[in-house]
Amino acid sequence: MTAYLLRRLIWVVLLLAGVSLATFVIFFQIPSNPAELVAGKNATPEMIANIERRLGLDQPWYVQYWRFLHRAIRGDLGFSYITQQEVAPILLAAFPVTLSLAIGAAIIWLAIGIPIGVLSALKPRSLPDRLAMIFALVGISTPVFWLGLVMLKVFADTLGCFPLGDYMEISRGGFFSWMHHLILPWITLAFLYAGWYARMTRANMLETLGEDYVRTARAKGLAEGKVVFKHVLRNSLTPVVTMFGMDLGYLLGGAVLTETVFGLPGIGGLAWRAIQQRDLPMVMGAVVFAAVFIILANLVVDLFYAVLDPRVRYR
Amino acid sequence: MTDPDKHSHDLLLPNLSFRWHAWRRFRRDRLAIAGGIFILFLMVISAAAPLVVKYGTRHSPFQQHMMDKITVGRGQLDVVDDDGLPMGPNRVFLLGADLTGRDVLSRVIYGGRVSLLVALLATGVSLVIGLIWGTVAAYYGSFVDAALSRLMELMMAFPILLLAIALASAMQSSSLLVVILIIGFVNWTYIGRIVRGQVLSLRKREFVEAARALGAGDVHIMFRVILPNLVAPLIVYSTLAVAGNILFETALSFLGLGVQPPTPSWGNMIREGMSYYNVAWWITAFPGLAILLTVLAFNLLGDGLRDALDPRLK
Repeated sequence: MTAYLLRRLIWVVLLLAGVSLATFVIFFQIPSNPAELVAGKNATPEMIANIERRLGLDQPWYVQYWRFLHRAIRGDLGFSYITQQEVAPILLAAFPVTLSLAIGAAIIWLAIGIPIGVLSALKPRSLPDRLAMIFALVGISTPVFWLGLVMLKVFADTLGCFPLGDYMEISRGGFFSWMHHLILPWITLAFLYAGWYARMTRANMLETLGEDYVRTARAKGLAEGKVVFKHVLRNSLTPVVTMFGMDLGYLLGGAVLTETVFGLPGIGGLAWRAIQQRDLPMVMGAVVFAAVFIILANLVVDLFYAVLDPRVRYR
Repeated sequence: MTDPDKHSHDLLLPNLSFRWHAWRRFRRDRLAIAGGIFILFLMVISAAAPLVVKYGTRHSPFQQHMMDKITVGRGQLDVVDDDGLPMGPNRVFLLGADLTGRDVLSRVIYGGRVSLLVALLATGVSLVIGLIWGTVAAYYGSFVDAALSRLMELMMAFPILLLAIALASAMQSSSLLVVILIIGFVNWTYIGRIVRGQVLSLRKREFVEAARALGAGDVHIMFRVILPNLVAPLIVYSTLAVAGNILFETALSFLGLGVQPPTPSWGNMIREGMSYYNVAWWITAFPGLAILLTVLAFNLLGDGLRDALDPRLK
């Protein structure tokens, strides 16, 4: 297990290097000179050359990449070309917003998706099952940015019961104000995921319900509730937990669309603006930040399997 | 695809029985049929869009009616009023007009062409990459598989929407081809994993051994012997992938990266109307509804095909 963990951790580092390298290379294809952006419109060629030297832009890309790696290991992601501020603190400041969005939405979609999936699987092909599956299908078919606009129109604009986007920190507005500002984005994001989770839970439940050991459990006279909750649910939720880990990891790297629609100052919106502004250090920071969560989520999920499922052994 | 009913029907109905059973199962799935019919309808409308617009809606999707007045009932109305507010749905502009007085319905029809074309071709791109990657990885196994799997892990470590945005910015071009290639490229892992899994379970089967014993080469075995068995799952997952790719394409053009205005696409229509959703909801509502219905149709069809072609997964 220790050897396995060590190998995985080395692989995590290599993956991060790979992701950052690829991002770097992609960005060097963009034919625009960041030094000109930094210098502004009325810059002389000398000023631009000066800035190029200061930012290290006169070096070939692999030297620049090496310098980036060297600094990144110490947690220094450099300075934004546009605002001249340090990247790492900006990302850390945006993270609570993304975290608030992801955690709140996750609680809602789990609380809706899994019970719907379980109930559907217990009475397959019944009317409630069919309605629930249509609900789930609509959920996974809705463009999230459009649903956000619909929510804003109906609940914020027409009914006026929620604020029009914007974010409120807990430290500034208190818990309830924070929640009040996030409810619409939560529901929007959760609607999409609840559909996936309901479908996945149902499919896994149905598969497990057909297993031999479930028949055995019933045959020995175990109460149906015990069969379902103790034997079936536990086994059919394992893939759901995997999916949850991946989804959460992905969302912690920023929900670009939801953050854009609701004007939330999170990681996703930050990354998106940085790409538009050709702000390479900011983009690198945001992509690596997002990749860290995706890769760690993968690792956690794999380790979790070992704890939950005794059939899985690591070599 | 192996036939689960093979033992009972093999003698009487070789080959035919599986397709026949699948078709019977599919025919009974009314939602899937409805999804299929809706997709056919969309394709016909998209293919005939210039005609539909000329004789149906009677407004070009590009024609601006900033200064025009139209007669509705007895009154003369501005298409775009003095405050810059366009008219909502009425008898002349069935789904209303947008900020420059263009017909929203005509634009939704033209936008559908883009979304469908991009999503279908991007799925084709993913299919080609995923098929080659998955088949080669699973067929050769050992270190080839290990190396290719590492490559996929790297691919999956990316936040894919950000990757697509970065690629689109780096290309400095928003031609349809570029958008199709980008979407196809960032989404191939889904199909790749499915192909790999299927080939892994097929490569040790007797008919593969038989082909090898007859002297067939690796390429022949991979693509002529194993591949035909993947047709059923590939149809199912490609259909579902089209649904995902439509959402992806509309998201990209919502962010301003896909097809550029004035060419309408469902995503860029929502982008253009986004700031006015509270006063002119129809500009964003109808393209969004079009996305929802189209994606829903592909998902319904895909689910139906899966139930019909793979009876083990209910």
